[in-house]
Amino acid sequence: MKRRGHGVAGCIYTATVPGAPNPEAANVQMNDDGSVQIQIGGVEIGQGCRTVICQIAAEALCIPFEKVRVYNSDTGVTPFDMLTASSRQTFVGGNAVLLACEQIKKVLFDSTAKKFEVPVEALDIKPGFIYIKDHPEACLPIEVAAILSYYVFRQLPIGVGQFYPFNTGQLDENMQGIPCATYSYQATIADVEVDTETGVVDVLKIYTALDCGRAINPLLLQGQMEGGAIMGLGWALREDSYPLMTRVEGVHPEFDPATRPTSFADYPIATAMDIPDIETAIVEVLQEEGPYGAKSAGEIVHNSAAPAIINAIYNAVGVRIWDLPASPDKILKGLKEKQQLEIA
Amino acid sequence: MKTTICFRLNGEEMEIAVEPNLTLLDMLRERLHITSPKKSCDEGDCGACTVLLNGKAVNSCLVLALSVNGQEVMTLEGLGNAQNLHPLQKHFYEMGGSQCGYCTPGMIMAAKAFLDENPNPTEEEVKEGLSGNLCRCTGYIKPIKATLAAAKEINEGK
Amino acid sequence: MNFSEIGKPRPRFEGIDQVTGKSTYVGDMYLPGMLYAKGLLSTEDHAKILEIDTSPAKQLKGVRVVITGHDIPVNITGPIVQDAYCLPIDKVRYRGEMIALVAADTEEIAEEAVSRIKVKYERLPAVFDPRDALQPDAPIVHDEFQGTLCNGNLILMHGHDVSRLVHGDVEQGFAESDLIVEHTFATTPELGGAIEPYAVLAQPNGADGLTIWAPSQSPFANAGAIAKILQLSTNKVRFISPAVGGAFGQKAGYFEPVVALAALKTDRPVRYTFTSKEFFLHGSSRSPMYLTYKMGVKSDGKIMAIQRTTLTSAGAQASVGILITHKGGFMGAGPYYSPNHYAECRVAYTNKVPGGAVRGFGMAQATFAMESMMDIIAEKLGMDPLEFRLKNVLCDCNNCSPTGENMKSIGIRPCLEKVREMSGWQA
Repeated sequence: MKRRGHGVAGCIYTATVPGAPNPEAANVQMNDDGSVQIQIGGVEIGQGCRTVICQIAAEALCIPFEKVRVYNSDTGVTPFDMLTASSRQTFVGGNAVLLACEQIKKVLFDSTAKKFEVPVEALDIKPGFIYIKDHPEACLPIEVAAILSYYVFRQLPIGVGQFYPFNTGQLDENMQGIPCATYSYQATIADVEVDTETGVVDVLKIYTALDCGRAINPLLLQGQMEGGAIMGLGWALREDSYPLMTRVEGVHPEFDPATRPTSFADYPIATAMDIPDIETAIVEVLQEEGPYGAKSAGEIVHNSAAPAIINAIYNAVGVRIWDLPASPDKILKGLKEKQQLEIA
Repeated sequence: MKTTICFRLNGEEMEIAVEPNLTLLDMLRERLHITSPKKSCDEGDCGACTVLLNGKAVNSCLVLALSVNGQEVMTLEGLGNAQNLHPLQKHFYEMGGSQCGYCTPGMIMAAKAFLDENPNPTEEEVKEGLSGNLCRCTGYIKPIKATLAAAKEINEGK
Repeated sequence: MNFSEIGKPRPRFEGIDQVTGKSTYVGDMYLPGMLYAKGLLSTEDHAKILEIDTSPAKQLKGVRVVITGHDIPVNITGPIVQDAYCLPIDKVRYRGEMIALVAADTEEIAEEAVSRIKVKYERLPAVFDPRDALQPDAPIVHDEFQGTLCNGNLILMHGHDVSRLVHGDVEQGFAESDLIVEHTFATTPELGGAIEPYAVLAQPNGADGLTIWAPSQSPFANAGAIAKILQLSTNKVRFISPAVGGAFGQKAGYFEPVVALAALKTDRPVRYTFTSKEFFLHGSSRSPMYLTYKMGVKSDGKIMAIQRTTLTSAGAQASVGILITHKGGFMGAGPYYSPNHYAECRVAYTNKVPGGAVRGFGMAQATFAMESMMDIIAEKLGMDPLEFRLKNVLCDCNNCSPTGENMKSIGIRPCLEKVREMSGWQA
């Protein structure tokens, strides 16, 4: 018989390495044609940090995305990055880039003020131009401000941003204090179908909502959410690199370290055939210290799928999974125990 | 003992001497430095090395180089370039079909062979068509959507 | 606020390169004169190394260098505590641990050479489960760090056997509770599962400098570690992370120092591309944990106390295990408010591949336990599990975290409400 159930789980996740200073730096240079190149130490691992960094710089400097390029993760060339982990890049990298862009803006404003012979305070910036607030028709293209800075007013539009998250530090001996710079939140609901004959779980649908502050790039963010949910599904149902070892009731007698999986055939990550529909929603609860209110997203997306699926299995067939993964043998064993209890 | 083989690679004539145990994947990567087919599992599990052999998707790690003598091989390098993207490339790009990008060449080639055979697939059929290509980043949702969008565009262009 | 760029669904910056096959990963790189490296991996879980005979390998034509632990200037490293041998000399502590490295003209010669290295082991009893590791008669994984990094297999965190979180008074919280529930959970070692196996390319430049390409998430930390190991200054090690074929925490550097040394010794570029099998064996995985959660609630569903005891298996190296245990320790109560918290966290050495960072770091394990508990308690109270969560979420009025931080911009309530609405949830 196939029985359906649904389960919910919430989660919280931190950004920045707990208790560490988490320094980050960015060099940003506007060239004399108004194009911009960014150097950051952070690594592009598929999470989309390069795209997001370019978007943050484009917004800050009021120039088109296409005019920004980023060169990254080369210790001989790019400035320091503590590491690309702990869901840090948007928050710390984004803030470092913003600080560098502020320095460039100051140079561009200085040059424009000199050109127009007005005080800097009289100026503002809008996409493509710096202009006099009271006379918006008096505006200077940003690339003109750049070339004037280079060769007339003798100040390079180059910014060096260094960023340390505020207030964070080592926890005390009772683990009290402020460990991390920001926290994201997620909730997931999973619908499953459990085959009571085989113990096989089919995840039918995943609904997931994420608050990572401002979504700088919703397309890439949605990609993170989908991929994270499927990775979590694998952890819930099938992935174990030391099979039969980690059991609440003790290591399984048949555990043998010599039989560790050594290929994707033995270690079955999800394929395109194994995936449910995923409906994602982005909830933006902004954090003022984040770049444009952004928090973090890279890791939290993995964490609530597995418990939502485990809770859905219980909802479907009344079997509680105490140790992952929820393999068919555990579900059949649970069903059998439940049956015996009911008979008794 | 090397044997000289001739085959077409991305539309161009090639001639190369190969050992009998050399795989198509190693020939492409190590000898010709055609590196879009990736060497991950090297035993047919992951699909990252997928290329087209006479229009059919194969795991190039499981094909001997000798056997492509006189045949037609196509890799992602031959599908389209930045100025002239194939609809699959365009939609994988625009719809977030790649994240780290490592499985992308194999997946696009698998999708190409699949769409050539089934130009108007359902979503379930696309899932089956991509089921031999493992991806850890995307959860497959966007690659599947990109393949469906490419099918639509190819059909409308006909 | 009106944005021109923020919030736009931009395709990836490197997307065109990816869909046209131009993204270059380390395994795709070829340098003139490049040698191919291969490592000898331990086939034992725990064994004394009595002898490593590399001479049959060295005699093979085309072999340019064979490296063992004796060749490494400073053969110990690690990001938090230094307990990781680049290549172990006295004993192996997990199956898959690299013992020696060969660099040769071709990959085939390197493989053949590795197969000719003779290692004499004396097998030792091994321990895999962290609970077993804490038994008095357990085999000791690191005899050499007793009292400095560990007591038995119990790893010291900030000098203590146990790391504790104390917030409020859980005993009072339990006394005020109408229902107390306690359960134990266990989690498995999940792999990062990146499709690209790890790879390192090292090119000597100048008298003693190097450029290293590897798909690492921490190029700066790696450059610093390599410099220490090879006794160079950090500015002589240029570390580049080019296109990375998935990481998920699993790619924080593996055998760069050894490949770098091979490049220096041969004065030629050396590339080591892991096979998928080697990456499965040697690559780190999510540290498994045992988690015992005891929670007290009022009959109206208000959480009064959360007490947690966790035990992590660090594998054969401690660093990441310590961090994971710490993180699961201070954040392990999830996005919920309780006036009283207590946690005790321990981490033990085992004869397994070192636990590494994997997406969700420490919190994945804790979330599984906590969210299972939330459902178990909701059922006992006869409450809708989603309502039970909403009743206890961190919010502006109850914003104090287990570490005593007053949280702000808390989004758990809108997330739960959103998925309820999307799914048409009915308990």
